[in-house]
Amino acid sequence: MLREIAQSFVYYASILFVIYLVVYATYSFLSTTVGAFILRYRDKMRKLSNEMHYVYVPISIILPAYNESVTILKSIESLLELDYHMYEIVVVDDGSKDDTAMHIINEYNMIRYDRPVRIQIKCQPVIEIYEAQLGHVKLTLIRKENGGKADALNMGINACRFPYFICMDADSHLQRDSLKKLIEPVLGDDKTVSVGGVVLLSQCVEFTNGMATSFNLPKNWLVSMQAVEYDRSFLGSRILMDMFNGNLIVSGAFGLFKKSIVINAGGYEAGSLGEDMEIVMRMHIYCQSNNIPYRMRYIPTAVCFTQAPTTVKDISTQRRRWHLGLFQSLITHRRVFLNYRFGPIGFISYAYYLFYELLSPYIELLGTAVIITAFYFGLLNFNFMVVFFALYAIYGSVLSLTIFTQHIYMQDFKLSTKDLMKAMLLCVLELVVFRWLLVYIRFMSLFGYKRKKHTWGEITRVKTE
Amino acid sequence: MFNDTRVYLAILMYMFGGMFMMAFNFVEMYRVRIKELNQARIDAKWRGFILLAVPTPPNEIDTLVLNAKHIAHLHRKLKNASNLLDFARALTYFKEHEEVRAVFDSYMGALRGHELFHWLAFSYKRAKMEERAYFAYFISLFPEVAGNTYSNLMNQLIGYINNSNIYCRTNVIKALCRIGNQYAVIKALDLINDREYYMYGRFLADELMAYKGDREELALTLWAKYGQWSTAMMDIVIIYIKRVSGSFKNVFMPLLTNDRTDTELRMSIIRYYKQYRHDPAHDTLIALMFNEKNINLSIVATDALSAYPGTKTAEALHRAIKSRNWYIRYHAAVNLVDLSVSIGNYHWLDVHDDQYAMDIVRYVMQLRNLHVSDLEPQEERTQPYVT
Repeated sequence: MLREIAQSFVYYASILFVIYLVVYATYSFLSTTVGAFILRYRDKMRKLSNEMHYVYVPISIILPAYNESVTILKSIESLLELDYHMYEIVVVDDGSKDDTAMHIINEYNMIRYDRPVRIQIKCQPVIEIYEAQLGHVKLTLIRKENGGKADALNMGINACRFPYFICMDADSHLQRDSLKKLIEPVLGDDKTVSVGGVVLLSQCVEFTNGMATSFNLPKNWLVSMQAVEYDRSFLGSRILMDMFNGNLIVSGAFGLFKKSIVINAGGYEAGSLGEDMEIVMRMHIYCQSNNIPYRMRYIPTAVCFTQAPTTVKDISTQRRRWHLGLFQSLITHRRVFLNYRFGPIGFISYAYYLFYELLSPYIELLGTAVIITAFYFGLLNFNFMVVFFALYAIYGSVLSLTIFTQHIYMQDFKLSTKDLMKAMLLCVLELVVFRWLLVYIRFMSLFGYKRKKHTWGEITRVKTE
Repeated sequence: MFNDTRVYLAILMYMFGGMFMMAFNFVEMYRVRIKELNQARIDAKWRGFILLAVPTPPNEIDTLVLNAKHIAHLHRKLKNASNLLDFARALTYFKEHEEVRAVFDSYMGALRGHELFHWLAFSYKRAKMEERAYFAYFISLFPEVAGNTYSNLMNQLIGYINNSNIYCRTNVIKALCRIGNQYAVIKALDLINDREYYMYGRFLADELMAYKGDREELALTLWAKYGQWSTAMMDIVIIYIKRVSGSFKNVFMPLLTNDRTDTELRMSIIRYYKQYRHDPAHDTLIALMFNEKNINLSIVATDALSAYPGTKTAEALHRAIKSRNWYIRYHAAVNLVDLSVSIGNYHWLDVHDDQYAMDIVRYVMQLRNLHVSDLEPQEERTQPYVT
């Protein structure tokens, strides 16, 4: 009797898993193919001078900072080197406990002003405001009471002057041409309300004159595996979703937004751990509900560099936050799911994030339970399973390597033979080792949600040269 | 249920796709890398090819005639965008190095209006969008090859606008403006207007600024399109006119005073009157500042009043600084403080009964490095602003 139940369970579960895997394999294949094609196309366009050579859209860069005294000056320095005509930098010190603000004030001889801020989105109150004119760039430092990253961004939106703003992480660096690239969709289509750029790991590159000039996979294997994982998980997938205006995330480390739409949509959700996803979903809903024609673009040529966590503890903190943020966003905007009004967003994007991101650790662990059950009742074809997993791992690795090498090539980096070999090995290791670490972290992240839902967590920052 | 062979087959099929893509990538990367390594040799080859056609010392401009073999080689090679890119690099080398500039002038003289480029324009019309865009960009780099009179080349370039992307459209306009043929520019803009293609205003105005012919005349011709072109296009025209001509003051007045004029156009016209002071517009600007129906007009009008210093403006700004709108308050404060600076006296600023107005004036004064303490109420107010 028990064996019959187990047999039925394994039978139906295996049907579900085959569907799950086929959909995932097809999606991965499509995203890699489209990703590689678009990257090649963009590269060709760049080589044929299909670029905007000068632009005038003024941009505000908002840099929320909390206890970022180690990296903040380096970040501002990289922003001041940008090759762009008109922009301002607004640093929002979100009640840091360290001397983040003092570092900035002293470095740039900032002057305190009694500046009234037009509050259009609710946020924690201002403590004081400093300003400095650095060449053609105005630097503003706002010290405010602590309210979280979303709250700091809302303050930045209230205080910034220009119609488009970029939100960044305080540990991120831009290339000299990043702003020019990011604004291009706005120049081409006035319906563009947001543009996401690519986030690469700063530990992998060296900068010369504000441009990343060489690429090396670092000695730290955790960082190297993240470099491969970023391309596999984010790049191809976001390029594919861009085809049907279906991206649900514009990276919090580097994204451009139309200020009026963000304000009308209510700004960032204070307290959200996934504010970058939450705002994009809300903008989708706002625009669709109000019949506003809009485009949310993803531009793989606009690059931002960010520090990857270097220890398992830090990765765990970061990914836990991402997973909780994903959970919050999907729950808050659950009405999008399978809602015909939202078209491919409800049927493809939301479904992808739900089944292949949020629920994937649970589904994968359920898969493990099925295998154990099948093994226990003698229903497992062990040889088949081994070959199947081996082939699947090779398939995944091939796709990872394809998108990774394409991306490296497009950035004009030269990949040494040693690094190419290392990348091949990493693509396999990432799939068979790192992936399971992430599965565990994400699996555990929802436990104790009520207790942890407002905890951002801290990641150790390293001063870069 | 799942036949092993079928499953293996399915996986192998997916894997074959992945492998194929990866192999394609590697081959492509290798090909490009080889080309990059040979780039110096390719450049030298093209430079040598050009030098072969130009005698030493180079002919006077417009006296060199290229032989049929040379033209045939260009015919064959330049229909490939990658070769056109290399050719452009070689030409740029001669153009930018003073010691060989004569070679460039002589060679361009020989290619001016040459039918080779008419044929290439036609050939690129059938090419991929990015290659078409590059051909237009090439012409913008070397407009000499197009000649001055309206030609088939220009006609083909205008044709590129159909089903184009932003880069292609921009490059076509860029090329036509650098050629300097007014008829071609207007025809291209006509097409952009008819097809309702989006062009970022300031960007297009920038391209028009590169127009080689008479800009004032172009401005007049563009303005003649009022009523035919969309308001978005006319807005771009006003931005262009603002940059090149101050002689439209009377032309724009009826549009400024007419409430039925599109808001964007009126805002551009207000900005025009900020750049080119026109006293008859003064009262209208003040009236617009208090126009509660359209807050955007009010904001721009408040800003524009900086070009109209005087008692009337000062009185109006004192009212405006108490507006509920933050931007109106800000611009009014900036203008009031600047007026005060210009007369060396800011005791007359009457903002003490409004905390928001006080805050914004205090901030603007700080920005101007002025003594904020002087804003404290005076027992006897000094004379208001008198011109």
